[in-house]
Amino acid sequence: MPKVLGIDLGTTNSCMAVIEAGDPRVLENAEGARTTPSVVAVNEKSGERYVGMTARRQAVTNPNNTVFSVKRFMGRRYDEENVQRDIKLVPFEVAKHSNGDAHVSMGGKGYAPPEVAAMILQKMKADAEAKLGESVTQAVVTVPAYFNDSQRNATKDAGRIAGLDVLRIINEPTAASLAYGLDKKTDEKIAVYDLGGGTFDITILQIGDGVFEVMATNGDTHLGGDDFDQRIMDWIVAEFLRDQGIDLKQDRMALQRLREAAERAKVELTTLTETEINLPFITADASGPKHLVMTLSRSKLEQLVDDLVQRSIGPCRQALKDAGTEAGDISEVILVGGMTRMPAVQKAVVDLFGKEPHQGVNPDEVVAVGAAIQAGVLQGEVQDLLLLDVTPLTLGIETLGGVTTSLIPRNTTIPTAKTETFTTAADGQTSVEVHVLQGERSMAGENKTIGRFMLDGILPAPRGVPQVEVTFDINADGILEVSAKDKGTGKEQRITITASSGLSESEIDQMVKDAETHAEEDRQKREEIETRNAADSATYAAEKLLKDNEDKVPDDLKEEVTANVQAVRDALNGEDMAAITAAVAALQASVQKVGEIVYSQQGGQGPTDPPEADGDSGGTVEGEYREV
Amino acid sequence: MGEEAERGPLEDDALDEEPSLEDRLAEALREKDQFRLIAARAQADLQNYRKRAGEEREEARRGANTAILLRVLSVMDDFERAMAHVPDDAVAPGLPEGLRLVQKSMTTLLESEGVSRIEAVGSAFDPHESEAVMYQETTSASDGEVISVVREGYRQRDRVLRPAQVVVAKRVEQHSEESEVAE
Repeated sequence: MPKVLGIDLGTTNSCMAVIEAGDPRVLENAEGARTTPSVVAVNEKSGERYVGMTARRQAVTNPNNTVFSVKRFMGRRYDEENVQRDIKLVPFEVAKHSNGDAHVSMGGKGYAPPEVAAMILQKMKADAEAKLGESVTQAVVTVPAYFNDSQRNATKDAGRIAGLDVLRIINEPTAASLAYGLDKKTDEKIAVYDLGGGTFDITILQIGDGVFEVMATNGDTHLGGDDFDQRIMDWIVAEFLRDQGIDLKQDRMALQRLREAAERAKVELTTLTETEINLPFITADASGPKHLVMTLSRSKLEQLVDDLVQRSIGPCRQALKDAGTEAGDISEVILVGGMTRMPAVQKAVVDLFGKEPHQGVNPDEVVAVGAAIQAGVLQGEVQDLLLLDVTPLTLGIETLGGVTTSLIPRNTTIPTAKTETFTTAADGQTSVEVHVLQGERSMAGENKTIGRFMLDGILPAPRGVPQVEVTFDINADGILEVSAKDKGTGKEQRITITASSGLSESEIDQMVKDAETHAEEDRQKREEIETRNAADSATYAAEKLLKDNEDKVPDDLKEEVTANVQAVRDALNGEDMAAITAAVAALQASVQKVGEIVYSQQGGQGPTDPPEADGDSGGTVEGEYREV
Repeated sequence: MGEEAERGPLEDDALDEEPSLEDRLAEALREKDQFRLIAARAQADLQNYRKRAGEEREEARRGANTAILLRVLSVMDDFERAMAHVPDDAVAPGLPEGLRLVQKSMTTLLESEGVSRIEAVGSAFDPHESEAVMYQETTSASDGEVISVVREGYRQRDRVLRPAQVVVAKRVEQHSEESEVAE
């Protein structure tokens, strides 16, 4: 089952993604970028070919042999009106081939548009292979919904030339819908608003039974992010001319910096309401260097581009009309293309359709992600057959002090298993109770009991010595098996809990919410119990130490330790946490004195380590296993 | 256009009427093979993911680093533009020297992060490391040679952090002295 690549072959930029372990993942190209400019160039002298960013970088030196926007010529006849119009806008040569198709020329050689597109696909294929470490031979490629058969076939040919078997050509708006999982919907109308670098498309889709039908498409083949950038640049130039009387349009170096600053300002104003354009030493005149410092507010920007945003609304209305529907009948709105990050664009869309658009998938990548999802389906129906579930709530057991100790946290993908070792809480304890809990609260009493059982026959031993291994194992069907095994005797008990809860979606949500609201309270309670447990362990350890070294410890110290032990016990009867902590500190100080004496008498051997006062360190955790 | 429909990923299998034992066995065997493939693939995906996870963490760390470095570089650009306007030592004693020391400490900081300047001037234009912003006619340089740098480019270890923006020579014969700039 080799991977099938999902490719968004765009007019300005292309993007690719694959399904990995059930999830789509956008693949970076060799330069480390998530999108690749759809530009190809040939160096006339060396014959060297450039694709993507490198082609774009050399375009100025080689305009006649640098082909961009080849998608506009895919599968088109030379005589078509659109082709004739686009020819005027590109610096490379477009010629009529003997079959009537529009061909482009690079390095003195004519190329069919699919050949040029193939060079882009070839680079993407090679970069994907390098990234994945395996060969890729199959792909799903997207095209605009309005592409006719010959344009679709041309796209398929491009794939074949690049060594890719194009398993399916899907519409870009359909791919975007798949990325948002809308194929699961039935009988709905979807509007896909796609405002990219250089083109605008609006598509009205009808989804029913997993089939997407294009009801209408419309758009503007020359409207996009570049127009927005240009508006900002024009404004900066005009402002500077007014303030300083210098026309930056005449200064190519300055324009270069302005272009970058304009784009940066546009991007910043998606999150900020105001941005500073700060270009020191932008130019100079007889009086010295000139600096450009301007503040551009979001509202000013919106004013500058308002007519561009409005230009996209007319085609939307027309598409709705052609589809025989109304804005109110649209159930889902999807935004595609980087420009849809602009708040003014989003607002225009919300105003028109009266609905919040889907968000969450990167609008530059959403089409490629959808193509990858389609590819994943063709790749072997992976998702449908192996839909891996997750545990909706945390699973754990009750330990000393009524605390929940979690073994499997919520949202863990199943099947999964986890083993932890626990121990006894009292001397001579011969049985433990395993109380299986489900929920997010730290206290056992506030979680749901889903099972409990006893493990007995543990050989009598001091607390902390027996080792009980508790294993949680959830299979793919969500059935939980809990087992407890005494490592000393090998005795084992187990319980199977079917359909681990029977909780409804809303109950689960409630439990998760409860946990969030009570988090602080629970934390305090848990801390309190931990303090108490540690204090309890400390008294036990101190007494044991005294007993083990009875003959070595002077009487007055013995009395001191005993008194301190009693003080801790007294404090434990009360509610004052600070008193407990203080009493434990005093006890530990006297225990240390005992340690010193014992150590000096043993002459060089290590001190008799008092047993760990803190039950939390190491792999063995004290459990709330009381004797029955 | 407008009339084509595509099948989405939800396709129902037709239900068999009454499958025989052989059919069910065949189906079970087919399913077994399919699941084995899926399990193998999942296992492979996991192993590959593990291998790459470390690499990706490193990439993410570098990515965050890159964003900061790029902003530092743009401040560095402005500083260098300012340096070009510093009056000579006679007019402002000590100032040029002091600013050069500031520049040096910035360069040292960048070097400690493995950042080095791309030396583009005088060599053949290479779009892997440079972006041509002008194509200028000249009689004094060979065709395709980088004449000057508009904005410095930087490398971080072996990868290009920011390409240099350069002016590339367009060799012309002696008679034309005018420069032509292409966009």
